Amino acid sequence: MNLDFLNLGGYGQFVWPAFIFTFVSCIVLYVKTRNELLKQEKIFSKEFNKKQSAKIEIAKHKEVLSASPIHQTY
Amino acid sequence: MFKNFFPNKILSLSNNLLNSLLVYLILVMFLGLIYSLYISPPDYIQGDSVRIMYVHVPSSFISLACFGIIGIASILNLVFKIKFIPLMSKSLAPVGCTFTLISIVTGSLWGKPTWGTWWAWDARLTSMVILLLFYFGYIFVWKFVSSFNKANKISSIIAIIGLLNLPVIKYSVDWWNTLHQPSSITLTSAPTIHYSMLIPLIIMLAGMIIYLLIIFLMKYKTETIKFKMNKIKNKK
Repeated sequence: MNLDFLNLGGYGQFVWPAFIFTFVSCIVLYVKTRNELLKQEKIFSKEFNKKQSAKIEIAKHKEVLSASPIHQTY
Repeated sequence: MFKNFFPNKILSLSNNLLNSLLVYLILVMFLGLIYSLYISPPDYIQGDSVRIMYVHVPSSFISLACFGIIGIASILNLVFKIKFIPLMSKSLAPVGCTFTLISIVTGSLWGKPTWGTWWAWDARLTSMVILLLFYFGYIFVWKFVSSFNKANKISSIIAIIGLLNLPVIKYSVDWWNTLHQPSSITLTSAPTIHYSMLIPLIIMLAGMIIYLLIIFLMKYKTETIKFKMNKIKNKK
């Protein structure tokens, strides 16, 4: 292992924490944002499916009604 | 182009776009890290501590740019009252705040070997802390004020007041005697740093801009979904 690369002329103790802090902060924000998006997408699709199935039920009900003899005109 | 940011458009934003941006981000960052930690030379005075510049400068630039956009968007929002503008500004705030924090911490880590101190209450550093406080204020208002319209108004006012701090940050090194060095890169004149340092700086900046775009798109989609869900709930 190249220790000179890690030591960076004696400034490694400042350079590495700066890079690590930057990347850890970015990764934490990315994970947090992604989890929040996935959670909201799940809730949204649940609500959307509920609405869709309610619409389908209403449409089916209308179809049944229109097919019944009372609603048919001759 | 602006139409792509309409809430209905952003809802159809596919994960494929985010994944391809993520691939670009990894490639650009990999290249940026190789350049900034290995290929670029040490400075003749500061030695290898100058490598902190490759994370410090792009994060400072992005933190200022984000708040600038939030501030201008807040003015447009108060004047024209366009519903998706506050959602966009709100989505930019966390990433801007993170980059401000990164800028302050990496600046402090750079300050110790260069100035001999972790921190000094000089104009540039203090104005950056004030910017961080404005970001906190902006985010906390959206978090803790339940009414959308009220939060929108208060956060817009905070952003507009915070906008006044941006020229202070930019020109603090010219107006006052500070420990911080003057800008090496300006829009109006040629950069005063050597291209061997300018290339990694530009690559790291490009990487961070891609990162900013990814976080912004994810957050904007999240906020749009939340907004739509609230609308549905209020209708019920």
